[in-house]
Amino acid sequence: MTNLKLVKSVLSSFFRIRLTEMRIAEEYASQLIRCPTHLSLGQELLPAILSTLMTPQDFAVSTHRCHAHYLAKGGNLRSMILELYGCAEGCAKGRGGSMHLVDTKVGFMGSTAIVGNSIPVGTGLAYTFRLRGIASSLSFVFLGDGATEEGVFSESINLASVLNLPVVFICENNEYSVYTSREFRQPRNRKIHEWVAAFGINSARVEMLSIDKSIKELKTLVQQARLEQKPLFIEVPSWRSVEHCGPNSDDHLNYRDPVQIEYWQQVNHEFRLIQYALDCGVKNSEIEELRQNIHRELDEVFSYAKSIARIKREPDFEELYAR
Amino acid sequence: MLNQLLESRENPTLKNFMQDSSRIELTVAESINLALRHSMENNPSLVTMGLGINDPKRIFGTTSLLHETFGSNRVFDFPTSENALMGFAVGLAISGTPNVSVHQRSDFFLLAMDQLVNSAAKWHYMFGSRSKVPLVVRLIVGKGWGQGPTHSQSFHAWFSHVPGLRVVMPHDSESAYRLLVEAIEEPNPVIFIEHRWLHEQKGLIARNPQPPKSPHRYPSSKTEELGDSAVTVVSFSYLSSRVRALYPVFSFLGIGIKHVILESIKPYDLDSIMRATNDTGRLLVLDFAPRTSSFAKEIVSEVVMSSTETLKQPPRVLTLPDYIQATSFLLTNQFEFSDEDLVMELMQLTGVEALSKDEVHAIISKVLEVDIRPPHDIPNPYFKGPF
Repeated sequence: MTNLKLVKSVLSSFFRIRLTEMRIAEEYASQLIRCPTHLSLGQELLPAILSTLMTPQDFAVSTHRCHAHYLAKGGNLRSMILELYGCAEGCAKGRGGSMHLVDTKVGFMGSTAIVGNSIPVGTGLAYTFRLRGIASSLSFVFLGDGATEEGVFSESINLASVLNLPVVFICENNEYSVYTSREFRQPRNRKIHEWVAAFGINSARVEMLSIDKSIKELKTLVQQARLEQKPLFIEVPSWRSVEHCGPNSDDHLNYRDPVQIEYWQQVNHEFRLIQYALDCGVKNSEIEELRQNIHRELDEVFSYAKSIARIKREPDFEELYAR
Repeated sequence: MLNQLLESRENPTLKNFMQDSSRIELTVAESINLALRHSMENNPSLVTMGLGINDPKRIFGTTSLLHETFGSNRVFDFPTSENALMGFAVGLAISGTPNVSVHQRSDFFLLAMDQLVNSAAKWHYMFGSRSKVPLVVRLIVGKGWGQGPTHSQSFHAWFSHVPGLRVVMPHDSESAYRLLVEAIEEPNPVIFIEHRWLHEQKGLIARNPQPPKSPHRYPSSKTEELGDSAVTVVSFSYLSSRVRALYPVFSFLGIGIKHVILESIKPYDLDSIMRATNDTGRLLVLDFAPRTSSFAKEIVSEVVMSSTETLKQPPRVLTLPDYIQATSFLLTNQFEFSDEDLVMELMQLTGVEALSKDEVHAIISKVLEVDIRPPHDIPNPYFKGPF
């Protein structure tokens, strides 16, 4: 059993992500969040565990589906919501929206919307550690299964291997690239993490079924990468519970395998995590208090965002170039 | 030559160089090398990387001795992954490591367009100005020796079309040194386009390179005047060198020109172009890319939109044709406009008596004292290939 403090930390991060995403889904219909929004619902657990393994001195980059990664890295929740509402106080001053979050204070250097686009950038971030003689930090690169088909993915894995860079590639394989199943996009019976191992880097697959096992495996892998300052690739079977882009379920479109839909419903990370926390000695009342605190924070943030969302703004092109 | 230079000065640092009272003569390639060397001495965080950067040719001599001086961490070769190279450069830049990446031909660089346009150009603005992107991309363009369809292109018009980038082009040793040092200091992505046919050209580097117009480095241009100005010629890069070589011919023919040399093309110095064009009323713009959607026509359209009253003639351009450049010697002969074409354009614009191409050829030969012209596909009479 893991120590109580760690479990509470994972729990806190999990609910922070999940309740935020659910609130965004609820508020989306008001049409004040006017940008493509790719929610992390169903994919909260992995980032929640990683939040206990990443430090503000690490770097991270992500993709269009970045909310969970941003929050797990310690990104400011208020700035994120204000960004979704297009406000000048948003983390990207309203210029990026949901797909382009940033919080450099905690090392979350940016998420980009072209598939695979942030992968070489995250690899470059790791090289700065080497130049500065920093031997205890990592650069986390979040990507999906679709990105592994991009040329720049292979280029970056090859590069990380050849230069021996402290990059941790986290591949959330949710089997679908928008509506297209992985069986039409990649060789059958080829496992992504096995293919990546051929580049000569440490490569593993971590299933998120047993909370205890997941925490231990991820901790071992990341700690080893941090200590040895070597590249690491982790493939994690994942599943998004709502549509690719937007707040609603779209299983009625019947493009996803019903067996897998059923399977993931039964996996139910929230249920497993709560059970695990209770088994570790966390009290029900503590869990409830945690949720209420987050709800209160969300109430305040969303209320403020909605109040300033329609304030007129002047063009800000004088910041096109840095001075 | 640089080896001897460095040995005799015992590894000059920027400080020594600035204190020296004489001007030194360097080729453009040597100037670029010196700019890299000085910049890397000045800023210990600066790195440079690219395919073949440490190979025996050292990118046409421009990266000579860098690896030996600054080590493998700061000067390093790279896998054949142009797109990852550009993205890697962005990652370095936003984490505080300014860098100069280099591509031996700009045609190869097309593989990196996503990282250039969607990462490098946009990162600063898109992410709320939270990060700066101090990087330089050296792209080498050129022609000759059968480079052919995919080794002889320049995409400066494309780059000038992307908000968030800067684009500069040196035209001699002095501008090569100055523009590169400034590009490295600039906290934004700068495309530095070098023409291979300039690399071996010698020139003087002033003791104090023109101080950067901090914080306004750009736009940057130079205007040279010859005689009583009758026509304005706008050029950049290697083309400026070609125009300068013909100054004696223009003088002989009594064609006074205002020669506006663009050192930055994004942004470009429209004010200087307008001043010169308003003065002469006649404009010729040169370019080494296909005519349609060319940068030359961008300039002409801005000039026409800004003032038609002062124009005495419709502006003209000399560009590459809208065709793919072939490889065979026999097919490339007429591809880029000749010196005769250039002179005849100016004669037509200024109303000087019309001469045939052969007559103009004879005049050029006589004035420049050149009996036999070198073949069209080599940069200098001594070039023997293979590259």
